Amino acid sequence: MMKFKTLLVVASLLIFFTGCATRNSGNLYYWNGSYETSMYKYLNDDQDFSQQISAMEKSAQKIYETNKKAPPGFYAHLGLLYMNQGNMAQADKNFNKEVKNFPESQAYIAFLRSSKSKRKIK
Amino acid sequence: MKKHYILILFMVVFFAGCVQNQPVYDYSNLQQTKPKSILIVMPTNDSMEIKGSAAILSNAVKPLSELGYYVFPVALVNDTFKHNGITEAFDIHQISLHKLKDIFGADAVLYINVQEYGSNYVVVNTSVKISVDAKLVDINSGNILWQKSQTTVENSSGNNGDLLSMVVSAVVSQVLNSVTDNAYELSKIADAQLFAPNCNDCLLFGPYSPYYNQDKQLNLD
Repeated sequence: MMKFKTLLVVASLLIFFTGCATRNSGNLYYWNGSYETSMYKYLNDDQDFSQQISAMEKSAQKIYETNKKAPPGFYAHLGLLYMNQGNMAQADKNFNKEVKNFPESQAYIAFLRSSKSKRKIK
Repeated sequence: MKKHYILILFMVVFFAGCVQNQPVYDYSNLQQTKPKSILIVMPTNDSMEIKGSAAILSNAVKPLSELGYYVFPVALVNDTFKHNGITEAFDIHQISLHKLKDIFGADAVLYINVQEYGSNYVVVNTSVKISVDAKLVDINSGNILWQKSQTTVENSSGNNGDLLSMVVSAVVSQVLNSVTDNAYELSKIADAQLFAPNCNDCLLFGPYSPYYNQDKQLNLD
């Protein structure tokens, strides 16, 4: 009887701590600095979009593999980077992902796609 | 037995006194509006470091998102203003809430001002100081939902026992790329402190957070 109880406790602890391990240290979203750094660079007129895209795509891959959530604005920002490279297909794909993940972005993304906003490529 | 009663009485009086001394922050506007999405626009900047605005803006995204709000993509938003000929933060802050709502559909707008940002040369030991104040405004009524001022300092010498200094030292020791300014790493801490949860005048958790409506400062009543 004692052995079973102990086993149950150990099993519960294992499940509990495994659950802890799979969370991104208690965060809602996946962060590894690529998004934050890219925003900062972009706002400072850094033109190295390839490098920023590469870093963020690596994060996107991690997000996909580990089944975590991309932060608010992550895909929209990636779409912006692709737009600056003239890659409209990838830009569109990422804007769609943003809207899918966060319906709050829908109005703004729709505005960007409408005739109201004429986007100029840098 | 009597000893225990006195001790318990003392503790009750002591802690009751603690609670009463704190002025309770008025969250009524914020709790009434319950914003889900926040539009952060380029901060105005009174400091000598031009890059301070971009640093504070880009590092505000993580803490606000983790609090449980949808945060609009700040670079994309800034570009939208640029493409409409509005490049200065001061001018961005003058745009009507009605127009912002039209374009973005956000629930609230966050206006940040950077008062101080960078190294302080006046003091004997070089210290890095960031002072910011933030104001969250309801996009429909224009009411202030929340506001806060925050100063974050890093001293280069002494204060080795201070936890903040230790954390900052660890952060600063990371490799900085050519685009960062000397206070960039500190801006991450400044924003984390400004948008921290569970304190008397802290911003409340947003709807995406599992702690929504469970803020510690609300449960003191």
